[in-house]
Amino acid sequence: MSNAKGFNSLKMMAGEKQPSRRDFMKFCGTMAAFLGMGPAFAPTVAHALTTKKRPSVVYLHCAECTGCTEGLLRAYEPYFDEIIMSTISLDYCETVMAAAGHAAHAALEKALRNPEGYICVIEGGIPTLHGGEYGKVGAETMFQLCARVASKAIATIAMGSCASFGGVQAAAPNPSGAKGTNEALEAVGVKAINIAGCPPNPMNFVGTVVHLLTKGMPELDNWNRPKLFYADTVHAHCPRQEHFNKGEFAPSFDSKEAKKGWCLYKLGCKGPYTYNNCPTALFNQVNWPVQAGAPCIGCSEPNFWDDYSPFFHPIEDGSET
Amino acid sequence: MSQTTATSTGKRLIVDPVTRIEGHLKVEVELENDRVKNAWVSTQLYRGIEQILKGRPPEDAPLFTQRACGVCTNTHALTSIRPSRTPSALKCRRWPG
Repeated sequence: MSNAKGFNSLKMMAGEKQPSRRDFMKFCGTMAAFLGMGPAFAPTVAHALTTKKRPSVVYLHCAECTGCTEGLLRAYEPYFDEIIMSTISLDYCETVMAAAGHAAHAALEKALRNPEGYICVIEGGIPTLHGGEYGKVGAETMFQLCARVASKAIATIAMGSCASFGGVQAAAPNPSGAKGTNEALEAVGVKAINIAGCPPNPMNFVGTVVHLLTKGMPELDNWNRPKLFYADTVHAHCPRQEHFNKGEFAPSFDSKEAKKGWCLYKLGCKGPYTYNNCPTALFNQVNWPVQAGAPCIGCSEPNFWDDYSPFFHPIEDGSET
Repeated sequence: MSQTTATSTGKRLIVDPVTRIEGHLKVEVELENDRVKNAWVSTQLYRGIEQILKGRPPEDAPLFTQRACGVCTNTHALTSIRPSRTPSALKCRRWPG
């Protein structure tokens, strides 16, 4: 971010300046294209975003590493400041909010009383063992907090693989009994949209929010992931796929074949088993793991920490050779 | 900031949650004559990544430890690589059985 842009953002945050119409339309154009509506639908998106009040978003942190928030903070076109200035009203998010302690709690309660409702975003798995004692926020367990907030939300979005399927803390032996949102909160009637990935592409999150605002609930796959982003395997659009088809597999990470872009399947790539849009959306529109030379670890799939590991061996091996 | 935002219960000041950090932190401060007499800082989350790592191949360790913190990711990855490069790590290598 250039200094001038940074300064403008600061001015915007101070309430001096709204994002320029040009920036805003550019954002709407990007979003329309990303949602597969084509650039001609930018005015539709803009209309939906401007006629309604920015929806309140309550962002809860459970058993997580903040990597998903970090990903979101690094969102590129739209930048994070543009997201919170023009798309959503982020009323509670422990990582970025100024208030702490009692004041943070008051902000949460105020957001929950919003008559227009709110969208609940959950990041991180929900510990359930021993009554959820393994994770607490304020005086409540994470389970109690999430059940209370998510059960009354207009929509719930599980941000990242931990919130979707339990994540790294749910890997064997799952010491804290961590569960994904839908599994843990099924009893209170929560049906969350899973934005799987470790971390997920921030565009998938922003796209889902914009979809909720413009066209309502996105179509979901068997694992509650929006089909818009999770319909194809990583392998289907992989730039190394032609080498896979020719049977050209890189023998090691430091080989010249790996540098030439040969397939990383034999080095443990789980791309063919993983549904995500990494190769087409890219992270920050720059790069993604396989293009950078690291095999896909299958991070958007349920239980990938156990099912898809060891990560540097092909899946059918199952054991070290 | 904390004076205005924390709940003051008698001579105890509790800040929970502490925000703008990664993780879930609670700070409890005991005051005497407006001076801090005692303080407790506690993390409010246990995930057990150490237990999860047991019995897994060492080359997978960085991927797990990275998830200890999404803000200082690489520090955890590099720290888990370091012990796996020492001769004693060979003795620890239990996987696959």
